[in-house]
Amino acid sequence: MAESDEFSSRWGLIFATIGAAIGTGNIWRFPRMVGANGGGTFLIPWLFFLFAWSIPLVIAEFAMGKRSRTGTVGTFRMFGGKKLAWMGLWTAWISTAIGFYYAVVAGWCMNYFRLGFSGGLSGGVDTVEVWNNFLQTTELVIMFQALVILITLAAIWGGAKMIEKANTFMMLSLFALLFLALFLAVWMDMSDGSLDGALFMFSVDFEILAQPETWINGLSQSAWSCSAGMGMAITYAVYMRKDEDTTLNAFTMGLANNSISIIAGLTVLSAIFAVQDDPLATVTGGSSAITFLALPEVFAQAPGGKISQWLMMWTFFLALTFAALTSMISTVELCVRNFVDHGYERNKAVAVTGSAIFMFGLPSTFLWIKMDADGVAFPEFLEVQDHIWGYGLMFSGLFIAFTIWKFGWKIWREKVELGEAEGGIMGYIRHGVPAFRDEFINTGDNDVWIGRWWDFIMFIAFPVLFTVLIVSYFGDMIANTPNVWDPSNPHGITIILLFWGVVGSLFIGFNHLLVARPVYRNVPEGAGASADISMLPGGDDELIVNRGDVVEGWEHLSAPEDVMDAELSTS
Amino acid sequence: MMAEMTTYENMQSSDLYPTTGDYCDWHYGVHDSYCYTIEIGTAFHQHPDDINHIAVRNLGIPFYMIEIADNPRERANIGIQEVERSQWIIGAENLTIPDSGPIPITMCIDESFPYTNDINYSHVMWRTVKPTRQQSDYGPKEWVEEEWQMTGFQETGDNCTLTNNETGTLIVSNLPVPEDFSGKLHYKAMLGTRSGTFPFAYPGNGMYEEVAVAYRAPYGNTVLAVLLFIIVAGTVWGSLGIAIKKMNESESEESSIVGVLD
Repeated sequence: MAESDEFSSRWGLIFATIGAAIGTGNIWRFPRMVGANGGGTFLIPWLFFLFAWSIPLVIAEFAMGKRSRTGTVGTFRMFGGKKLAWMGLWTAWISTAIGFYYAVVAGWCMNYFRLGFSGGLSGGVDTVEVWNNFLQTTELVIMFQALVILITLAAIWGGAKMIEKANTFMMLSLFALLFLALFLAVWMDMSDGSLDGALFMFSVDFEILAQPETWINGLSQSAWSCSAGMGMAITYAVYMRKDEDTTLNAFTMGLANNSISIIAGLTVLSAIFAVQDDPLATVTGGSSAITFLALPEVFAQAPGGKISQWLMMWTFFLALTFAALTSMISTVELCVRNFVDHGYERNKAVAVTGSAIFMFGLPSTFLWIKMDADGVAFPEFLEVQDHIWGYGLMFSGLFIAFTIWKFGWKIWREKVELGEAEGGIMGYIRHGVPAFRDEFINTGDNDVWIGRWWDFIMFIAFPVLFTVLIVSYFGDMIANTPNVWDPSNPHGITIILLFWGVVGSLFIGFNHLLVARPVYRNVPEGAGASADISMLPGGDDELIVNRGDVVEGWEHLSAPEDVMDAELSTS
Repeated sequence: MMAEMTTYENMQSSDLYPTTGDYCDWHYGVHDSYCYTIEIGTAFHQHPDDINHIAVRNLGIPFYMIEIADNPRERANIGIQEVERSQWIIGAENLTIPDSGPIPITMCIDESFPYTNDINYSHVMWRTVKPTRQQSDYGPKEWVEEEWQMTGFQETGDNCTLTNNETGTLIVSNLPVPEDFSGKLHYKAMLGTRSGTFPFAYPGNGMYEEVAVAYRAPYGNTVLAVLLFIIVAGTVWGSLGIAIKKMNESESEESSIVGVLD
């Protein structure tokens, strides 16, 4: 156990969570959102919702995972009660389903790093042709998808230890690469005497600021980019030390995520504004276009000659690859964690998850590769997957909030029965609303004390914002999509509801089988009260036991395996 | 069109059965005007029960005719057709978008063309097309079309060359496209004559020109941008710095405790 000290540092966890949060959303989606929503105008709602949505939700996730010491399924089984374990399955499924095509996208990034490094993007090549050729060469796309999955599996095979090492290495490299790219981009933009990219990125247009759409986009960008509500923070909290400060971790993660977005945004905007005649037309376009069509063209014109052009090209795409890989690691780990919790061997779980992600990702590599009006190839099957599962994340967040409301309700009712609390709405507000925060967030391990503002966000702001997001998303779809109700329309609404309905019903239907199996918690030694779950709705579940415990009828699951999991948390 | 509305066959009325001295003859004789005959029902003596729905079926036609009526005689005039064909609207490939202000759409018209200044008849129809703000991360670029708008013409006093190489008059319509707009501009012109013939459409019926418009407004004010940068970067990086500092403090405390216990 002595060697566990060197990788059980808080930084290991922080790098892992930052790695999970920072993905392609920061580097390719953020600059586009800035471009499409009035430059600096967008930064205001984006920053506001970091504190009003993403960080509070991540605080909740960390607090839940640190207490439950299991992945999403076990966590919902404890926090929601036996009947709601399926919510954890939904959360895990959404993340995994996104992982199916995300591995393909990460493969694209890796291929562009290869192309950039080998000079395949410089010398005035037609970037559209390069992109179209690549997307239509299925074996190449599959090769890079497989490579991404293999690297990911290698990183998580060994549990927390390897995850930390891989994330730390890749995140530190990402910072260095991005700063280098930023330096080159700013130099580029300055060569024409003005920093108009930076100027645009930090200028506010009050007319756009007053439009609801700007705020909705700010909220969704913040939520998606921080992976808030995805269950990722629940998963990584399993590896926390017993005295870990969850709140500080949540703040660090969210702030680091936004820091990277600012740097990536400045890099991309400066580079594009430096050379494009109509930079806004470039940045507001579909994302794969800006990243894989415009940027190579822009980087090829970097000042400082061939060396700096070459440097810019591959550093950017390597940074993007690392961002995608670290997010991929958390996606796979989120799924694997749930298997391990239910008594499956880690190695087997990793192999099964990896194979599933490869198999189910395959259609995204070759199916429905189409041409848009400008003659640029795009993978429609992949796009449809994103269309269906992308917004499922919202419900994962809602489920987390729901368990918080439910826990408050339980504590309040118990107090009412004991005569310690009054009934009615005021009773719930006084005794139920702060219950989760008192019990799981302000635990005494935290340097940062969380006040009533968090309750306000979870109980009032969250349901309002959730409704606004869902209504605006579907409203926008209904208003702007032809044949929106046609079930065969891959961009319609029926296909989303159908897939959500089928998956949701299946999970609810199989819930009883799920909870018939024991869950093994990864509780660190000497955790004491910090691992007490007796007050939770699922606290009396006899099949929730600690790792190594033997459950009658399930003895075969208690074989000692993957001690590395526990190592991190027993320092 | 009218036949489609009623499902009657479109034909010369005398082909069905010739008559003389009917309403159409009178109209042509007195008003020098064209005339349409619309059949009533499917039989010479229709059953009285059918009268109501036949009347309803035929009612749409007069409304439609009132809607489209301009000056069929003027339109049929061979001279004006020739004139119409020699006029042109500036094509997207020749359009120069100024760095600021409205976008001028010019048209070259024949001096003999009896064009009216009435904005309801002579104008440029235009709309902006923007990329949607919430678009797929992986799909093609999605566009949203705004409503068509109408801007009238002004005389420039300049001459231009018609497509038949004769000299024409240049008129211009200054489209108030905002300078901070970035996207595509669709435009087409409609001309009407003083006697009410409408529309003569350019570049052609149902067609429009499409041109990309770059963002033309200044990107912002340097001082305010620096201010926002300080606020945003200060909040994010400042808070991150504090969080890291706090973390390091507690980390070193914990390490020393662990050291003692070990």
